[in-house]
Amino acid sequence: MAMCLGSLLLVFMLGQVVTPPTLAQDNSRYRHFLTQHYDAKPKGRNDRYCDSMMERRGLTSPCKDTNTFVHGNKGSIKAICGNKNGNPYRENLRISKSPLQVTTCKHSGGSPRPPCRYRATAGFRHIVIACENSLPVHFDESFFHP
Amino acid sequence: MRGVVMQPTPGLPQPALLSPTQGSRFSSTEKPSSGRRHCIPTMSLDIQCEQLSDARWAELLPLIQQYQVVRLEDCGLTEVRCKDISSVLQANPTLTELSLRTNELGNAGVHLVLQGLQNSTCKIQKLSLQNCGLTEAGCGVLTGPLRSLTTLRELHLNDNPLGDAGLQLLCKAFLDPQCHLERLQLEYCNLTATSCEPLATVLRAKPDFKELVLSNNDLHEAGVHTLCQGLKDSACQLELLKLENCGITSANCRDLCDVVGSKASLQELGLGCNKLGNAGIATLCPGLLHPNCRLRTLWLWECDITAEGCKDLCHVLRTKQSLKELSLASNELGDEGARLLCDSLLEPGCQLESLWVKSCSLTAACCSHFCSVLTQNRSLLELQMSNNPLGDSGVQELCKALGQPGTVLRVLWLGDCDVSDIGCRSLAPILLASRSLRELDLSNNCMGDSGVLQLMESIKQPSCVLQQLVLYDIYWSEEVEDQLRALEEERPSLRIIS
Repeated sequence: MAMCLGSLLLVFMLGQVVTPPTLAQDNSRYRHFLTQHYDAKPKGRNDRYCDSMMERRGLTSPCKDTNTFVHGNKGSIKAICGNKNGNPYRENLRISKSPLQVTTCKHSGGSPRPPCRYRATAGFRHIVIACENSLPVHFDESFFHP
Repeated sequence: MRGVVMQPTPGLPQPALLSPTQGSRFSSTEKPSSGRRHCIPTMSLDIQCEQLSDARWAELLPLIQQYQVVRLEDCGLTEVRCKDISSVLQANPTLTELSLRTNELGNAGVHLVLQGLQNSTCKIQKLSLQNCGLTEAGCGVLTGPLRSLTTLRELHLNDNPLGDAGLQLLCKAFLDPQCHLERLQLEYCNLTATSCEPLATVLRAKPDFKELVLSNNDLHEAGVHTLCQGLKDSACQLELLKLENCGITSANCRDLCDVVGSKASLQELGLGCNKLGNAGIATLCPGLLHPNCRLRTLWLWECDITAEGCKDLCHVLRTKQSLKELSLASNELGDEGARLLCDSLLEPGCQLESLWVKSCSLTAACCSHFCSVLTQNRSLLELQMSNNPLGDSGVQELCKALGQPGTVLRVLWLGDCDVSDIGCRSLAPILLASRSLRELDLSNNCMGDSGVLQLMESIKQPSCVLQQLVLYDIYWSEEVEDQLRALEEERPSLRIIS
């Protein structure tokens, strides 16, 4: 099932939509995190998957170098922010207690100009994130190098 | 409000109407044609990555019927909608470009689309059916329609598992005297060496051929050899040839050398991701040095080249004024290789505009050489040094040159270069001082709030000329996030991408 940018674009268009500040404050970073790093039910976690997901999620202008999509239940990711599924890691990060299904997309090519081609590495591993207000807001891509 | 930033695509008309509920770009813009007094409308429908409801589809059909350029890419279109597409295409007299990239049309859907074009009065020039689920089984019925599209000049069939048998069938259409195709893209089409003879035959028969992309097919040494023979025999004025990740070996470089030395029309050559090695480069260079060669863009990323190979390439760099873009990314050049490149960039004969040396095992030690380039060279506009352990000391060194009044560098990539808050302290004043730097990438570095705030202090100044700052994969606090959003609103001409 393809998760397209459509309705998320509504929220994220620069300057196109006015959102009450309090609402934006609470969730926008988390929603941004989900846009960049969450795909519940991926269709084939291969290079082609990466090519289309990176484009759908707006990460190809310019080509983002490395990006991981986490699969499954997003509750498991949220739980890393607390003790249910997370432990502190380094100064201000959290590491998952359990491994998660992930696909890491690594840019392959001679320059960062689109069209962007990616190499996929599907895995089942621990992830490191940062949380604000108990919500994931940042994914640490440097923790694992494919 | 930050988040996904829609980048305007260069060359496309800027969107005049943004539909806020859908986020698609469709524009009918007037652009004056040079030398004429009246304006010529260019109607262009451009939708990417959007599931189209039935209601929306009904709205779009009349536009597809009228517009000159129609791109519906990754829109969840299937065979069912192809019947509609086919009908409206037949009724569209002005269509010149159609892209249905990344829609599961399947063999039947593709056939319907081509039949629609066949029965249309339009003069279609450019067609993309990339990643449309076209297989070998679907190729046979396409030869008839393809033959009939006499105005078609450019065809993209990337990411369709045509296989050798499928391509062989399509080549029948390409060989037809009525076929005037000039540009053909067949990346990731499951082709092997077997496809190279039919393709060579097409090249020999079609002197108008200008572009061939065969990257990511297992052609291997024998296949590439056959292809090169075709190219050498052909009178075609080839402009672009891409054979990246095709299993090219150093032995093939003999043939490639001949091709490059004979096709004065060749502007872009893609050989990335092939194990050419230093030996292959040494064999290739005489062709690149040939007076006939006017190459503009050369892709040699991930080609197993070290500093030794750089020596040969440097001859080319120093003397080939036509060469504007060079990628040596993912080659173990090391600081020695970088030094050799920099020495070449100091020569007046070098007119390179873009140098991509990402992941080349460069350290702080080579930065002083790049400084000389940045200070003295007046051609280099873009330098990509991402994924090299330059560290803060390397960045500090680069900053010595970046701040100089005469520097012309516009785009600098320093992603994943071990830049911390300390490096940001050096970069911040540069962002204010530089009159040339327009784009800076600092993604995936280890700076934190302090570093980001320092950068922001500079970029918030109206005198800062930076237009794009890329900060993917950096973690900052909520406070910094708020300040970044405020900054984006204050300075709409500055794109901050994260």
